[in-house]
Amino acid sequence: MKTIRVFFKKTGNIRYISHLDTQRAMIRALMRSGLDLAYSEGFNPRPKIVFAQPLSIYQESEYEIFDFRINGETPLKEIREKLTAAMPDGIEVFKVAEPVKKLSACAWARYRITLTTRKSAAEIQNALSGSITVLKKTKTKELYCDIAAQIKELSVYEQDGKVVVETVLPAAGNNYLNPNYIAAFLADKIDGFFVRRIFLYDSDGKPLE
Amino acid sequence: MKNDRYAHLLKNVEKPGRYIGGEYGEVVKDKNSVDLRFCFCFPDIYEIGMSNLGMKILTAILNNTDYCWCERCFAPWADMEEQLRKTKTPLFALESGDPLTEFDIIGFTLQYELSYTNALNMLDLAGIPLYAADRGDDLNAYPLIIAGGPCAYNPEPLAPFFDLFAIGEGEESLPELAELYLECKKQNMKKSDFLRKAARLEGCYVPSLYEVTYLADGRIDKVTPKYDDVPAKVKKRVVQDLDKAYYPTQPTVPYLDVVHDRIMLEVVRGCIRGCRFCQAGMVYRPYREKSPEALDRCAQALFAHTGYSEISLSSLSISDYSELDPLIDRLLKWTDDKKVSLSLPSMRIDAFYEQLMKKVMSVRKSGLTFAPEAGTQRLRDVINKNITEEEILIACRKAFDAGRNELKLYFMNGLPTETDEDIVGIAELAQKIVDLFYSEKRPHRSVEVTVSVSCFVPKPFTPFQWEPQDSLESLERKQALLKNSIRTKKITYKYHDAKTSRLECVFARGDRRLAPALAEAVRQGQRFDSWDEFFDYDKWMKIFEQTGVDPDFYTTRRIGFDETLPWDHIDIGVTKRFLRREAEKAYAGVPTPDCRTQCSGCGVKCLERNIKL
Repeated sequence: MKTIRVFFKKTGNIRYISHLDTQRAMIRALMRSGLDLAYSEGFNPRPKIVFAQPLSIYQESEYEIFDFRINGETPLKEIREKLTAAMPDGIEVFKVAEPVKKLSACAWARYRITLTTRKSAAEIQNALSGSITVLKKTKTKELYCDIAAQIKELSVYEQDGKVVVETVLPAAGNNYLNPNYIAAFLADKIDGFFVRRIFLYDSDGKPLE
Repeated sequence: MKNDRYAHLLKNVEKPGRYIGGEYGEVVKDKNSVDLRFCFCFPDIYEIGMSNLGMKILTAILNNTDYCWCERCFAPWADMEEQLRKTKTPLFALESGDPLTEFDIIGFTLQYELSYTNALNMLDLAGIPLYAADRGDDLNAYPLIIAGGPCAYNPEPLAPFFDLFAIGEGEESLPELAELYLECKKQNMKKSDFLRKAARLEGCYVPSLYEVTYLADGRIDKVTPKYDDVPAKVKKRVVQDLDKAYYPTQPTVPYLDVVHDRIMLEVVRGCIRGCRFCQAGMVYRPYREKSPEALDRCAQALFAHTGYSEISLSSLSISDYSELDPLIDRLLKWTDDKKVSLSLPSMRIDAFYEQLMKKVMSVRKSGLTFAPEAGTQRLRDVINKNITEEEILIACRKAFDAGRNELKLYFMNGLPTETDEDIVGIAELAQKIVDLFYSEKRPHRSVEVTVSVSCFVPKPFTPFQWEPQDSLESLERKQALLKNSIRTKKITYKYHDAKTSRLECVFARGDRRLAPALAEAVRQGQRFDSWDEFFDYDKWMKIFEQTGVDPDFYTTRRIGFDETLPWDHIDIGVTKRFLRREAEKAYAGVPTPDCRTQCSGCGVKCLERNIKL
């Protein structure tokens, strides 16, 4: 039995599918792939599958990861082909490999937030240069906090006539910042926004592998 | 849908996944390469509609043809409806995202009466006039609006809205109808001329071709075809050889957590039992079984395509399937290995046995549900639920012995001839089951018995179709009586809202005079009537008052045996004479043996060409 790491993109209309539903779709894809999966024990055996970091509904991603366990020796190329055939529309498996680091090494994520706005890149940059105070909601409470210190990198530029905020935010299990907060902070300056995750990084700032 | 034309709406709704399609197995064709565009509509939300087996079968049959692309549409939830109305966006199909008005045929499946307002609301959201008469005589002006499903056996409350109803099983009739439509469209035929031709297809009921006259007291005088070539009675369609009938093995696999998110293997159609309250047991006759070989092949193909980890053996009463053991043995040969579990949702108590349970439990634990339906032997005899208390207790003992400690029991209240003794009998039976659990030392320390009680709704084409429904007051009094008769916390008591059942009865036994009330209800915003958060009984009563409908006429009134029923011109094969005979036996408390033991002469044999029992 060994662990296989699947790298995939999630783009297009499948961004309307929540993380939980995507996870179930992946399990089904594994089940129909015909691969010799390792299952969990107990009354409800399931393929063992772990995601690096959930992706919010409405967001696209070019770099998503999940691990699953497989019995025996199947060539990676064959695994990739079988998975590709079993995936729903909008999920593109671009790499299948054995894990280099643990999934818990996932620490940062890069996002591109494309804004619909009449403001210039400079104006948006300016708005984001000071404190960024947003209302954070948890299951039990709501509180205002400044997220500026959590942001590792942030730049604003124009691309194809749109203003883009590109940023690196914490994406660890116990420290995760949703890029939607940045858009929420800009709410009165924008008419809409669109988030695309570009990379997941390990604690060294390298793409998680 | 590939494109993103509704992004501005989807960002504002709670579950956008309901409206985008794109699931694994979805059928997408080039709309310019097909002659006929069909939209299959389910008048409830995605999660319910995507669980419907009929929809899976019929969409696949249409998509299997070269000439047709069949897409899907579900009732949008309130948040999506608000978005559609606010932005004046017409309701669209999931696959192409095209508005419903671009389709040739829109086909609804009518699974329950309380979805009628949803169906009409969907037409309204699509910008299609509700009344067929307002849609003109040009076949190209609007899509043809048709419906099928169990409620189409008495489609009269919806008669003025639909162009045509498909009566019975649609596997054969739907493609025939689609082909006739295409032919007529090519000839630029008028809609009325097409419908006149369609009325001659077996199983096609064109309501506009029938005249209904009434007696002075409000009862129906008679229903007459307007032309000589229109059949006086519309006979339901039946699939003759179920084994050879097409069964889809590449269904669409939803992302969302739908109600029945598993492989549904249709094992049997029909039921040999003949419970006197049960409409399904009558309208799905004759009883037909599939072979274990065909089912096993089908299940393997379905697993390979879907990746589901559960197979549900679907039938009205799975334990009556004569080859259940061979089927389960065949399936277990590969399901255990693939970690696929089997569920048998319709086991009869008398057939429940340990070995089968152990087998089925070997992979995954699934719930245990029995349906005694009534609390006393006397009443169980009246409704022809041929099980004894002893059989119930034996089954429970076996379940407990096997380590189960959760049981769910289904009952009905308001059944014909019911007395308080029968109601208290439900509590007593549940108590006996609890006592049985504690009579011996068991692996589990405590037991949980859930008693779930629904209100009896007399349905067309059943021996109880003439029966008065219990009044609201009486039903609610009996619900309280049962609640007070339960003396232990080991029994959980759940019951249905009697008001919902009353509305259901109005439409189940309704006639064409209810149509204005439905149209008015939709206008006033009534929808999702089967959902607690939307059901508004008082508003419905007001609407009935405004539109001159007396609900008691359809509910608490005893209908005479010799009265013309609103559905008398629909022929399900089972004769009215048989139903009446069964009603009389009910009053005498005489049970009828099941169809395998002895033929009771229901009349459905006239539909059979060579069906073996």
